[in-house]
Amino acid sequence: MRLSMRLLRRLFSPRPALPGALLPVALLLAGFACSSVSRSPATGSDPVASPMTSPAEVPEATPEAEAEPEPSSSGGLTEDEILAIPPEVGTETDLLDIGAKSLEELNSEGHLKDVHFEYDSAQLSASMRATLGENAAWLARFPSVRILVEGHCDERGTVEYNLALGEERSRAVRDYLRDLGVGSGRMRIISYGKEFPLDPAHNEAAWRRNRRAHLEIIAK
Amino acid sequence: MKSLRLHRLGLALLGAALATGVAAGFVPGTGGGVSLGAAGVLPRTTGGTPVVEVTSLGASRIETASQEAGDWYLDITRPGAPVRIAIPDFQLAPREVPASETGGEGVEAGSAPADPGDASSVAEEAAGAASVASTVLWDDIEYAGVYRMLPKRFYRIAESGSPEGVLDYYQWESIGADILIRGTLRIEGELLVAEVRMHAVRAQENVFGRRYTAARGAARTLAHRIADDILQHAGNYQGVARTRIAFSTSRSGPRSKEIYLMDYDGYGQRPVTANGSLNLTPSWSPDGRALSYISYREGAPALYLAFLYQGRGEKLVGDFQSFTPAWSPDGRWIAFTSNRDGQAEIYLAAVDGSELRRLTDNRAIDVAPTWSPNGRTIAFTSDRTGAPQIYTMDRDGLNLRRVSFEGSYNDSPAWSPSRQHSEIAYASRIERRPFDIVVHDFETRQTRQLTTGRGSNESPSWAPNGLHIAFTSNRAGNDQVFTMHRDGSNLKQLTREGSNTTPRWGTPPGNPQ
Repeated sequence: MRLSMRLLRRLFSPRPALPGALLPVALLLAGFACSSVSRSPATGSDPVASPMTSPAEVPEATPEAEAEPEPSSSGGLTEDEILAIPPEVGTETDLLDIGAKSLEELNSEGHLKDVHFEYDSAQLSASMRATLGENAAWLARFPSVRILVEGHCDERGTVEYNLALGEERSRAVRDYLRDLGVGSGRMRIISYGKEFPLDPAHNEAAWRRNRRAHLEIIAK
Repeated sequence: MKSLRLHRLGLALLGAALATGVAAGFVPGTGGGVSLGAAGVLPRTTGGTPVVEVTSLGASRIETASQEAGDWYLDITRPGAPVRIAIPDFQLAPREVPASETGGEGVEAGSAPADPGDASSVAEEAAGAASVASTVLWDDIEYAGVYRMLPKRFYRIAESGSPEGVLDYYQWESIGADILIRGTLRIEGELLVAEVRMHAVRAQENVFGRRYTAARGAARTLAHRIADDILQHAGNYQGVARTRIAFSTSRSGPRSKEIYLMDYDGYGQRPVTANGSLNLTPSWSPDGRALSYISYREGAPALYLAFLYQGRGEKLVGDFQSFTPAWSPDGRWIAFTSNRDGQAEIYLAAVDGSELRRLTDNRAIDVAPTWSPNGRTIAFTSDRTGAPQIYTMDRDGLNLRRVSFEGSYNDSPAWSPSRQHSEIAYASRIERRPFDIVVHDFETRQTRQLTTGRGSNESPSWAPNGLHIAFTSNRAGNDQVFTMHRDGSNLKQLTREGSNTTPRWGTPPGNPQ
């Protein structure tokens, strides 16, 4: 479903994004997308999904659902046909045209999310890892992008120690992104200590916002 | 606290006096101390610091031969009692050189007069210089905290009892003065000329007489020089009047911090860097002629040196990131933190960049090195036990010892340069309160707290004499630089514009420790 909608948007994009040879495939996919949209209400009111039926059994007990072409996975096409579509790894056909935007625009659009640390800590929590996972996926989509991983601290530590703590934070983020497949050569790290707070206020909320690693796009 | 300090001074003086075998009145000492008696000229500097020249006034006029020998020690007939000092304002002396003969060669044009030939404007300028010099000299002597300043309102009594132009010691003794400092000031050509005499009132002796010259407009510098001389001779006390403090300031623009200098009293705040980037954590060379600091001007924070009197800078260590440099007491090494091997460790680099040695090796943060006065030990901050604490190690990285045990977060250690006190100052946090400045005494193993919970107090740095501490505090709003005595008294705020952090107190140029 998600895939189809993206292709739909791409189809109707004013920019001639798709090579002509791929047009039939795209149209075919678009057709599936439309059929899936129109079928959705019917599936929702399917009598099989009655209160008497155990929810776990629903998918197996619904042959109609089995037969239904699943747009988000194969879309009913053969593998060869799918491979005919350019892989979504940041070629000029990607919906987000990073080539047309300035670095400033890209950074202000927030494609890469900050992660926020605990007080006096450079540990990555599960939620921070999840955020970094999204960042890594975005970076995989645009392999030409290079980033600066900035480590920042809140104002409560000292100037001197915070410089080292910011370094440790940026390094922890860089290392995790590397584990997720982002090439080391695409990342530089820097510590700004407590010199550049996001929020100048002196309270817990501000401190929390300021204890961060920020991923700045420095090349595309 | 003040009386205690004076008492200690008294004991020290007693010892010194006994060593010379004399114990009454002002005693010309024969030992120790830096004698400037016969010396003439300070090393000339070329970096905008006005030159002050000093000549001893001829013995035939003022001093006896024995009094030229060196240091004088104070009266100890009243041990523990504060020594009272009277410093009347500088008197304007008649000009000895006609205005038409002004030369001005070789003197920096700090404040060239509008018209040197105009006698009344010169007289006005001299009066202004005398007023500035009087105020600065008073403040410098008072700052040292070793004398009780006799209020100026008493002086008229002593002076009115004396015939015009005659010094009547009894009159000054009657108002309680132990020491009297009298000076004259005049303008000679392009120079300010001051003649200063120090008198031991009850001994009725003139124990010190010197002529000082400086560029016109350098009245402050002139007075600083006189103050340090007086303190040196009256009590073998190393004054700080000519010292300067380097710091990092945000005043020059958003998202930038520049390194600035100021005199010890906050006067003359002036930029060292002007690159619009982040410039942080300055550290003085021991000869007071250069700074090392961190700059982000090329992106990653790198270690730079600034040679202040040559107007020259260079990058010493540029790869990876570097933080918190500290210049060694022998001037040959810079200790600093870098992540060049993957994590924040402490390194040594020779000042010419020729050698690089790693001193620490563990997964924790190691940062903020500071040298012991003899250069054999380095203290630093490490969070190897989970929270930042102060440690020491030998300069080869061996013999690790933990220094701080109280407090949940201790950082920015500063080792006292004092030869009398073996101690280290640092910023300490108890629980989640703001930081306070504490001092750990290595001999007694006691830690004393100097600030008490007014704002957050961080980044201590010792005066070259080990008796005062500069630090950052946000007690008045944003971060500003303050100084205080090593017992926490005599607090002074030096900066007000922008936010100002990481003060580092340096020696005067050409005056190595």
